[in-house]
Amino acid sequence: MNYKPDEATLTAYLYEELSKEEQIKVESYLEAHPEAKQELEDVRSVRKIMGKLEEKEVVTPSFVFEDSATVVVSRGGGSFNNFLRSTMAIAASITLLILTGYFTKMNIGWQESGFQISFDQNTVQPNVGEVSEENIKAWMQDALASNNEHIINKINQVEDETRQLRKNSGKNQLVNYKPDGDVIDEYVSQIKLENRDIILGLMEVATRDQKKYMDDMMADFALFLERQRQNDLNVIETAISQVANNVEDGPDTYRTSEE
Amino acid sequence: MHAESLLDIAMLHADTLIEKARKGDEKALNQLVSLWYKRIFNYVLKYCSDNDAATEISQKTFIAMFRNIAKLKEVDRFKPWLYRIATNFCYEEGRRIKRDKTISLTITNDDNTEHQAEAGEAKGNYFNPEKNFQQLELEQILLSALGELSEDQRTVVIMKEYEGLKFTEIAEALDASENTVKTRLYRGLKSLKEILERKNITKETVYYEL
Repeated sequence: MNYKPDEATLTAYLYEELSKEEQIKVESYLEAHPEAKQELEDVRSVRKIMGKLEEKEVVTPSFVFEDSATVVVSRGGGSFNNFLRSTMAIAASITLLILTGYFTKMNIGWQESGFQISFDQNTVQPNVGEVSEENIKAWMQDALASNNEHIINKINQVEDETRQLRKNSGKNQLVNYKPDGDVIDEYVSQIKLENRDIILGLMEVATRDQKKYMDDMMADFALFLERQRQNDLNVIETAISQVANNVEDGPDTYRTSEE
Repeated sequence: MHAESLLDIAMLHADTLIEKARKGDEKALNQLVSLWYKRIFNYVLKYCSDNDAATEISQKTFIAMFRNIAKLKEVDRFKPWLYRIATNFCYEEGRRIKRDKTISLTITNDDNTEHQAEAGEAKGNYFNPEKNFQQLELEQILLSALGELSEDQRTVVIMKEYEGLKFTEIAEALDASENTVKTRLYRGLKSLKEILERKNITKETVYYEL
């Protein structure tokens, strides 16, 4: 037996891809050569151990196939995609800034009075003049005057309000309230009507209740009479049957009972 | 391909979809992506054991798929063809990393193991946090063991063991003969055994620990 299976054949044997005859040949060889058999067993166990390595779950990215030159990989973090995303984000930010500036009519620039950032209208700050004692006094005077005016206005307003309130509050006092005849008449007639309604309702209910009570009583009385009659009849019947019994038993019994 | 899920079944019957995609139907292309993305991602992840790189390579793969699907001659060759694209990107990435010498392919986010386990716990996804931690730890070791294989052996092992490709499909994807593929697989598994023994992972430790 010079047959010695090569590694390819052993692999095929391992994966059970040999023809029947070849398989038998390999098996007989393995029987004859325990070291080869051991080697094959080792390889088998290696396969088993390697089988412990499990599959990894992965998120499939979606590809946008535009043309053969551009393929965009989305989701999954392709470097091109990241670059595109950040570029777009920067561009969008700049656009937003420019648009905001445009809509708010922002203006930045050097004026005579210095560096100026302004919104809406490009107004130049009026030249306020020198900062001297007189000027400051005049400004303070102005400010005080306008402030005083404002305070006086406020005070007047408050006084007016107080007056108004006082007037109104007088009206609402119950003590000061003097009703005229019509109102009283109306009120009284209203109360009268209400009372009448209440009494009418009461009468109605009372009548109904009484009627019911009377009905019940009559019915009860009739029942009572009926029962009385029944009882009387029963008594009479018993008495009669007793008499009948006595008669049947004969005069002796009657006599003894008499004695 | 083991038909384990609806997705797998859908993949097996995607011929008309591929036909449409070849004519540039965007919807069909995206459906193909959703059918295959998880597979390709997991394939690449096992190859380079780095999440970010796997994401990037998977996306590159599908972009390349989109650009070249019109050139695909036979619809039923789609699967090996797609794996071929992914593999080429994997090799490219491997060369780039080797050239840059910044990070090793093999030593990956080992430090993240604990962190990942905590994240899993926090999500409440797992019944047994300790077991889950061990599972994550084991997965890290297995991934790094795969990373120690040569490129050729690694691709074959992943394609056969995890992707369930037929030997003919692997041969086509790698432009090699079936016999070569089988030999590479056998050698790959044998070297894995040695690597795992060095890392103290044997059948016994795995099954007793877990």
